[in-house]
Amino acid sequence: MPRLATILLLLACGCAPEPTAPELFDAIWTDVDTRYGGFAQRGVDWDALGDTWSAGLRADSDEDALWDAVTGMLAELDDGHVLLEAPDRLVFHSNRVYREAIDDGAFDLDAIRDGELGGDYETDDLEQYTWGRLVDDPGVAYLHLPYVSDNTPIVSFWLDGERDADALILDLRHCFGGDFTWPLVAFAPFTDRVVPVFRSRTRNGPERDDFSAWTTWKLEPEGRVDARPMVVLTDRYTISAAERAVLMLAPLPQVTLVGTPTNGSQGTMTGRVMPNGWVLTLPVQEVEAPDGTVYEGVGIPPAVEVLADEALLAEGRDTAIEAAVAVLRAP
Amino acid sequence: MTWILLLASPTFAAPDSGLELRWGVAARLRDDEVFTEIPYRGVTPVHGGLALSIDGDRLVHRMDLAFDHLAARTGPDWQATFGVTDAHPVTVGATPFTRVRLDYAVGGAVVDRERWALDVGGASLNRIDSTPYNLGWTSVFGYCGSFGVGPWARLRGEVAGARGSVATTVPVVAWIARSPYAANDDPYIAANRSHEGVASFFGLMATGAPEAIVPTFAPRLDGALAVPVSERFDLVAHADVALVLDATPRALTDLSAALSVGAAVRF
Repeated sequence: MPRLATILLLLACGCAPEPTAPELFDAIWTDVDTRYGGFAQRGVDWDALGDTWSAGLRADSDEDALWDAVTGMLAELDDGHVLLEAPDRLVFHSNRVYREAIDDGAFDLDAIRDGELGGDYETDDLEQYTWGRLVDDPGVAYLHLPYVSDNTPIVSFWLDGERDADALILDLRHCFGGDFTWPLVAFAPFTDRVVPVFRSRTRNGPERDDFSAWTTWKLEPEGRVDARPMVVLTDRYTISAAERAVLMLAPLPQVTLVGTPTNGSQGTMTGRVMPNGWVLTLPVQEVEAPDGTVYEGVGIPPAVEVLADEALLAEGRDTAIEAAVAVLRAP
Repeated sequence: MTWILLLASPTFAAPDSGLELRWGVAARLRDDEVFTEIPYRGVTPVHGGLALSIDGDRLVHRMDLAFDHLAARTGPDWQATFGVTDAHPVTVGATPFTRVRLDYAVGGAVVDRERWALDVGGASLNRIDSTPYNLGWTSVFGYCGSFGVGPWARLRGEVAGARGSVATTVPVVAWIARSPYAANDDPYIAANRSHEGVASFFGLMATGAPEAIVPTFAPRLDGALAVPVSERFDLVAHADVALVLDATPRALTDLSAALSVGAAVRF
């Protein structure tokens, strides 16, 4: 009822008392406390972080001080789904890889298009995919997806259009996620049997162990099967639904993961408006492999770890793709 | 029980059978704690309604379809910068709130005097809210579907040839399908898995559950005025105020008002 009274007050006069910096900090801390899904999987002592980062705030602390305290606290989560947005500021990424653009230059789609694909590639007006053949090994068909959503049906066309290729590279580096239910359908040709690929559960209450029951998601065959050897390329910017896409493909016998570990942020993300108007996004789920392996916070490891050499990338050579070809052509 | 009888039904404007078309303005103040700590507010000229009334010897029927679409905000729009290596501005601004409701009511007069009457009966009250929140660099889809039944009551009268009515209603039992506690959970994701609008819609509505008048309390108050301009045509005006209070999965307060004018053809 106090909230209803506040709303009616707002309706009546269009105003509300300004919360202080400690009150706002507490509201944001509480929001994470009551919604965040990653405490256990990431081993976070949220109480301690709240105590540490609120200590310097006073009732007369300004917005900059609040921002520093909140972002300092959120940085400790190092979570790719935790972002804080405020007027006239750079959107804050909790995840250090994104925040500091670590190894961001080790992926360059233009260099791949002009170099590894020899300038002969297909895309669309929105550049929702890049499809081509490797110049140095034309038997390898290449597809890059910058996200996984309504662009993933292209996979079916890619497989049909590249029937005479004898090996495949699906590049999910710098794939920023989307909606994993799209690849769950689009990747059906890669399996001839039902494969449990991951399971997830969602916060459904304010206590940190308030979660729904687990839901196991499965990759199901569609009839045709494409069993050609395939490398899935990953990097630290392979995040969210893209990581779930990797989890769909990783168990398949014809698939090898090459690259660097994924970001390690697989839970579904939501956003919410804070009392001062700032916007906070965070994941509300736990996700794990069917066998209980947790990749949250650590990323899905590749079988062959390689990071493209930035200097060679500038010359049109992607050493991660070269490593993928080596895997595909290994006797 | 007394207060339930005081709350009841959709809009019974005219005692005659007829078809009514209206257009007007609507305002909304909505605070859904699943998505926000601050109420969203908005006013729109995009509000319409279509109503069919059939008056029988003993019973009156009315079906009322109405919708509105408005840009709701918590305050002034603002911008932030997104991206480290390819920075670009993003705007946190209007969130499009869309509501469609379809009500059906049936009842009869329990008091009938020369210049006024009191009708009592039952109603089916159905409302769908779509609220995809604009959060700048991303967005989160919110929804709320309510399909309920409840009592209605209407007081109607006639003065100087104009007919007026005031009606009120509240669902006593309803199927409520609302964004879950964390906005996106596995059933929500599964409901969208087909990526086909109709299938997704029914999938989302299927995530609901029956609820009684507590924790979901959604009374409406409708007022209507019909002024005859000929034997078959009326000018009509309609106003309504609706409140939705819901306690699960997180508190929701939604206060809306609408005013519309139009014409009705009687038959």
